[in-house]
Amino acid sequence: MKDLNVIESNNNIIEINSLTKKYRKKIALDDISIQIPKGKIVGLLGPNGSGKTTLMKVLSGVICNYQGEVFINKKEIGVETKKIVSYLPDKPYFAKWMRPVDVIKIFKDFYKDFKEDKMMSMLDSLGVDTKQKIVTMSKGMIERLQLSLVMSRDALLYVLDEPLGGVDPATRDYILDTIIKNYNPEGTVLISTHLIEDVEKVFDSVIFIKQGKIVLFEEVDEIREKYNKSVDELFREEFKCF
Amino acid sequence: MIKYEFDNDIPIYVQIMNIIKLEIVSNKIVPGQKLLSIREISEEFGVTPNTVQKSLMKLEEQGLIFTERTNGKFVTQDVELIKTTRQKIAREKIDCFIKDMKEIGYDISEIKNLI
Amino acid sequence: MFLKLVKTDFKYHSRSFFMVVMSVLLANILMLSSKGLVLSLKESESLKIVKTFLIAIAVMFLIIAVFGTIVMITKVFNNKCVSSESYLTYSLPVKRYYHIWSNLIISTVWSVIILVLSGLSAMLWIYVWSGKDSLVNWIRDIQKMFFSDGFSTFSCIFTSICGVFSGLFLIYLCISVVNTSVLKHRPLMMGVLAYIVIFYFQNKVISEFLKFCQNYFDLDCLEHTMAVNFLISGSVCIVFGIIYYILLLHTINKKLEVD
Repeated sequence: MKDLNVIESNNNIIEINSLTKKYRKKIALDDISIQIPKGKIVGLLGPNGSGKTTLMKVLSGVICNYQGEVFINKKEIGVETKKIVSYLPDKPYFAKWMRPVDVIKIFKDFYKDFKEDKMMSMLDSLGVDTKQKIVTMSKGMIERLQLSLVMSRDALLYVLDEPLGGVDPATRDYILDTIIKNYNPEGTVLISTHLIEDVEKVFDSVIFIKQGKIVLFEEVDEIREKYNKSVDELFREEFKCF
Repeated sequence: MIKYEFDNDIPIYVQIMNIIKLEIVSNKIVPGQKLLSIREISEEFGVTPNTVQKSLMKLEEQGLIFTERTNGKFVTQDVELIKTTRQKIAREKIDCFIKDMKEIGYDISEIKNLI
Repeated sequence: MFLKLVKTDFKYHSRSFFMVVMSVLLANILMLSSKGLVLSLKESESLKIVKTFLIAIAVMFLIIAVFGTIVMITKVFNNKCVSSESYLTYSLPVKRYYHIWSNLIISTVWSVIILVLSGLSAMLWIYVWSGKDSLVNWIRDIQKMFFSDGFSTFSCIFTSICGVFSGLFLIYLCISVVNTSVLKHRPLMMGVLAYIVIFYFQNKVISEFLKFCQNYFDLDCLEHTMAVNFLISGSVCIVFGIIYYILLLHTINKKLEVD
């Protein structure tokens, strides 16, 4: 099942050539090459430790030490790409003393595409108090805050690392709804998750990643037509534990 | 968001296309009526807008809807086409029903008596 | 963008340094109270004990303030550039080394502030305990020793700045190196150890070099021996500072593993 879709077009938001990232004890990303077009909602699926988070850290610029080439909107990873990439990490990144107003100020100062009114209305509908210290908030509330920050930016690439893991079903629906609502044909959303059921209808295409290698990159509809299975079923087959 | 249970082995755009088609032929959406925007439909079903776009494109290919450039998408005024499509769907459902009944051992005359 | 970063970081640092400033304030209040106690009541044994106690606590708070500054500088850099907050730090659209320089500038500013406050406190205490004349003499002595003319003043300030910069780069370097894959075990202990060892080594090099210069260039005959020594020390500090900075950049860019 080695279907690597190489899309020859100038309409790619992400172009990766032979990306390799090694840590001292393991190879996190093993010679990855892929092109992801603009205007798509893409799922990055794989078990824990398969390299999803590492790939997202590379795209967001948090990791800057790797072999190979990575281009976002035709530019190398750096200050220019960070301006157009909105990154949601899998853990909170706030200082102990911070309140939502403090982070909002930072986003306003550094990101030209940050829409403050959108942020405030999202916090309002999620019931997040902007003056409350973030450390005193529940895990679910912190995740909603982080999501609001990320989605309030008018970015060309959204990189969401496990936004659905560990949230309650209502928040999950809200997250998926927000992603659909925010969809813009110029922007791409890359979502990593290991909970595929019920989520695959939001994806245009999915990437299967296993032990640092990409084993599949197909449109969801093609998978159903070709294999007569849902993505979830195909995933279970591919990543079976014996 | 409608919690719609999609089938697993058919592409989602086909399933959404069929749902909308059913609503057209059963007159839940009347000829000439304006459809919801792609974004609204995608939010209702909880699917990516690209999928909805594909569904609507297929429906447009079949002539059941048309696009007015700045106004949006509308159901066709062609009542004949809608009637034909309805008959076609009815035919498919009947064929399916007969096949299922034959599987449990009924023959055509028995089926006729049941109905 | 850099100025915006400095502004943002300054707000961040201020929260930590607030406690340090409070510590200095408290030291002064205690010291003044000890004098106040003596003035308003008759001299007696028990009061003397209280007075001594207050003085001791005041001095302790001043020392805490100085050490607190170093601890805060370390903590803030660690949190922003090496711990989980670094996800936010490094996804901001600024060049990575901006963060190093922003932290450096703000840490220097706060170090100077605390130094000045400590100096003013010392002067206040001398005035309060030994009178105006003592204070004036003390100030004159300092001035004669370190700031007698333009050259002395310059060499003093130059060396101080070099020392502060190289010291800060060394702190940052130790923090960063200790968070690479090889040394993640017991980061605090390893960091402090690394700092002490390297600092000791740096001082050894400076003193050896000074000795060498003194012998080779026969510096004792010069008028401004101390100022010249300062200048030489400062220059060696710069060299070390540059080495630390290069290693720091390399570590931050290549070797850092946040998780």
